Amino acid sequence: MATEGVPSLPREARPYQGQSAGVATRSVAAGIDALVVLGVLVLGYAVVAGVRLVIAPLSFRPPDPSWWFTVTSGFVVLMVYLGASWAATGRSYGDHVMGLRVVEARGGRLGVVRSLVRALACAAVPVGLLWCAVSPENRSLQDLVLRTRVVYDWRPRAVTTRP
Amino acid sequence: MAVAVGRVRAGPVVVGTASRLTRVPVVLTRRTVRLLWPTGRSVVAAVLDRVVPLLVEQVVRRLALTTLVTRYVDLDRVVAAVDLDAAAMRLDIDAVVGRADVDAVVRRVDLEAVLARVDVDAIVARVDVDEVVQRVDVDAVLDRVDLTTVVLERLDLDVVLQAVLDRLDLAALTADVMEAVDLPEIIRSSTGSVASETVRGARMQGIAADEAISRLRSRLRSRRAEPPARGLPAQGAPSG
Repeated sequence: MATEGVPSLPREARPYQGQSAGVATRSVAAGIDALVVLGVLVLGYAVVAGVRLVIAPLSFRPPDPSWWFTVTSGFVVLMVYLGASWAATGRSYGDHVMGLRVVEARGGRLGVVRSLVRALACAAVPVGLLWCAVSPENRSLQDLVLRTRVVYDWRPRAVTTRP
Repeated sequence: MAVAVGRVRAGPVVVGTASRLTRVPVVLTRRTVRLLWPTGRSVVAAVLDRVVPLLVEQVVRRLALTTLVTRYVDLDRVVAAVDLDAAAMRLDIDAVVGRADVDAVVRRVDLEAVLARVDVDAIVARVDVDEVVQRVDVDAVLDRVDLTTVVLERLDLDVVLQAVLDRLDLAALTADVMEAVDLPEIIRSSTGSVASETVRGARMQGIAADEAISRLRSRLRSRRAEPPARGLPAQGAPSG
């Protein structure tokens, strides 16, 4: 490409690339991801309702999922969504918007297993994110357990991280 | 026959020639002269009127008058003696011009022959072009000229454009423009979506919030790590 090698970053953001992200940015990213999961659930609900309507329009009633089913569905969707995103690109949509990337301790991309485990841990203990506010290295409980990091990375591709 | 006329005197006067045969002088009395004088005078005048023009004509025909005048007449003195100013003052130029048929004169002038004899280069060489140009109001001239129409109708724009392009070093020009333009900024603004200004601002605000939290955390840690002030006993330390 003609723009190969041309930095596409604002000058003021360049010093932060590769540094560990703090709790504020990561919380915003997590909130965006929560909205994404909520959207997926609503979309799924609409699809199920639509199918029901098509199949039995006369006896149609809007689906009334139980609380347990809703929480479980949300949990599964969140885990699959986060795990697949981190394994594929290192970033979920919330991370993408806020310019973050989840990497392993040495800066490499997470594997599938570690991504799924981290997604499970995040979905099970979301408050573990708040440990970033206390950790000097901006690490959440999941990061400490799985030896991962979340860094600022505004570029489309992964960059070499700095501890 | 030659005739000589003398004054009438008191005595007898010999007034004529004698015949070659007789050579006898004719003696006229005073009374006779008085009687004959008017008649003879008329005869002599008539003869002179006939003879003198013939003689003068013959003489003039045999003389080169122009040569004689140029040789023996000082024309400069003659002209200097003439008061030309007075003569010019007496001239009624309006009347002269009024009587002149200028159109006829102009028609008879061979202007091309006149122009062919004019050395235009010499005339132009004597003209101070700078002074002439300084007196020209170029702005007024340009105001009266429709330059756009002139350019569009008289210029071959393709040729001009080609000449300009030939003189331009497009590669160097492009390199200069690329250096001057903030290309990354343009790419960011054109890619839109995520790299929009809103997202960029949110990201920068997130970084600023992270730094603020990090500073607060560091300040709290440093307060905890500060040693107790000198002179004050440590809490729980044995006293005495």
